[in-house]
Amino acid sequence: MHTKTLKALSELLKDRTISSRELTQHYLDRIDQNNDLINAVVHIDHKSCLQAADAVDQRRAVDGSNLSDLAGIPLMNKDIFCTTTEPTTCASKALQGYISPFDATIIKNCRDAGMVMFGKCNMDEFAMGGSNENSFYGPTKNPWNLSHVPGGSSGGSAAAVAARLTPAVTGTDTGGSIRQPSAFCGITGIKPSYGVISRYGVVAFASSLDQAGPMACSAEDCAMLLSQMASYDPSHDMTSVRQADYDYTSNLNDSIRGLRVGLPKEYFDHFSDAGIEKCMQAAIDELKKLGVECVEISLPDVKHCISAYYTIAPCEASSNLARFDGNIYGYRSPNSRDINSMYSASRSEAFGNEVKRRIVMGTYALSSGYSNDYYSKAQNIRNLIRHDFDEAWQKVDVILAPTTPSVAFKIDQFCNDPIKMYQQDVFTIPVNLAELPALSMPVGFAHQMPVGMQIIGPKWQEKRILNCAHQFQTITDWHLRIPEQFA
Amino acid sequence: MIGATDLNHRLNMPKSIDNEAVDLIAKSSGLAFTADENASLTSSLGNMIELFINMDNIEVCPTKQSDFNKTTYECLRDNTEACAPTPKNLNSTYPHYDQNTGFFTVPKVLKSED
Repeated sequence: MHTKTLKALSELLKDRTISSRELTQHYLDRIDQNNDLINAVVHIDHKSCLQAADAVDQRRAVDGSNLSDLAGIPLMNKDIFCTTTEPTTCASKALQGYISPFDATIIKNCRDAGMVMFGKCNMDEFAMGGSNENSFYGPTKNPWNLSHVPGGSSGGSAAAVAARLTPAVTGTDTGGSIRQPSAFCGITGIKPSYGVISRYGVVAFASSLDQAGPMACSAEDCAMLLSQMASYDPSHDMTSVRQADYDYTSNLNDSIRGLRVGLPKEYFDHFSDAGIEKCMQAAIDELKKLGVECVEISLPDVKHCISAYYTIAPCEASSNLARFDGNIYGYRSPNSRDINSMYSASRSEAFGNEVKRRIVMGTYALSSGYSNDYYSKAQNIRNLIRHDFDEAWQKVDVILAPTTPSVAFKIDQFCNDPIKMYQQDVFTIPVNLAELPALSMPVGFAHQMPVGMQIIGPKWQEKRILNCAHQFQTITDWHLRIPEQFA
Repeated sequence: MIGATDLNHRLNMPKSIDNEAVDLIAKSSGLAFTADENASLTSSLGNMIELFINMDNIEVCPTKQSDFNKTTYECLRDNTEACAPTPKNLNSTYPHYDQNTGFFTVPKVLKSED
């Protein structure tokens, strides 16, 4: 069962070849057998999962006609989404044992669709990191090679899908946290445009950049999931935007003949890895067979993205994480004399090194005399990058780019050099700064590790990039490969 | 709640990163560091400041900024303006408005036998 796509599982459930309980039990068994190897799942309650599966089976037995396509399918969630059925800790000691009194909107939408909430995935603490090494629960390992990282911050989510411990997961993407781990683990993940999925109930890291999205085996699976996850949520999230159509599967089979595909020279001229270059070229050749027209374009200001992102994100993080002071919820230090020492002791004992580093960066950049120099300047640079993309959309329909400059690196390789770690995000960050949708999908292997390619679209054009990715996946099978150890 | 907004500390924020600067920033952000942590952060924050300083060399044209981010929200409803009702056209909208007095007349309450 675990080798099948979401679409195939949905068909099996609909025609009652399998029940949701059987499917859920199968994945629970796989977690029990394999999770110790990769440390991808941090909370799971077998009993509540099976109860939820039974409830869907009972509804199907009475009348299955009004159930959604995803009813009865297990969905695992990144530990950043508020859920009432499991703890929500953001992989941090600061939120140890915290159980939210409400479900995030994205979780509610999936529950309403009859999906079985299936535990929580490991992640970088408060989504800060690109390797999943900054977790209170310990690092997650890449199922393709256990000595390598799965990427981050949604590394546990990506590893869980790659090892087929769950058919689908949720992730969040602030600077590439869905796409980079998807690329490192050989799965498909989409970051929608900022505003498509409500941020209500997503623990905030950088509010102007955070966006949730689905991760699964194929673009078709992601389209099915996105159709349930996306919603207009004006009473909870002022950045939520109403979409004309919430069915992201309707045009998947349309031809992409004549689609104008942009190849930014800034991304393609400076490959540091010949293996990735070869995979990208092969993927472009496949797309050409489908009739797309490739056009070279330029995005001259994307080179400034690291400076802008690593100013904006820490500034917003230092403000958002101010609420974790041991006073209302989460960890409270027993080693304090008065309220001020309780604040600083609780925060210092609870946060990991990377979180502290970013809080300090953000506090510095926002301090008096600097906020205009740094935060405002970074926002202006963000506008330059948006403008580059706006110009590009005059010439092309989608843009192709490598997702990462290298394949998954070894655990501990960059742990003492944060700048090098941050530079790994160079291809994903511009999309977040411009609030665009982008999908990463596997397009081959280099150094025995998966390689990911991004398809970037204009704002609100999720359907276009899903269509393009699905058409590519109908003539290739990279998305169906499973690590040998987990087959 | 802890924040990056403690005015006393902000006004005295140093211009370069050394151990004292990290201590001051830590105090502003509600954190306390050990000597080792302080040394490590001094070193890494010093490198990261480069990222901020790099932005000084980037030219941002102020007139160009307002032209950016032309997002079209095709899916939203049209924002059509409606004129406020005037005493002259109020009658067509509100049948109980009395133009002579400028007041609304209370609708007649019918008795059950009527």
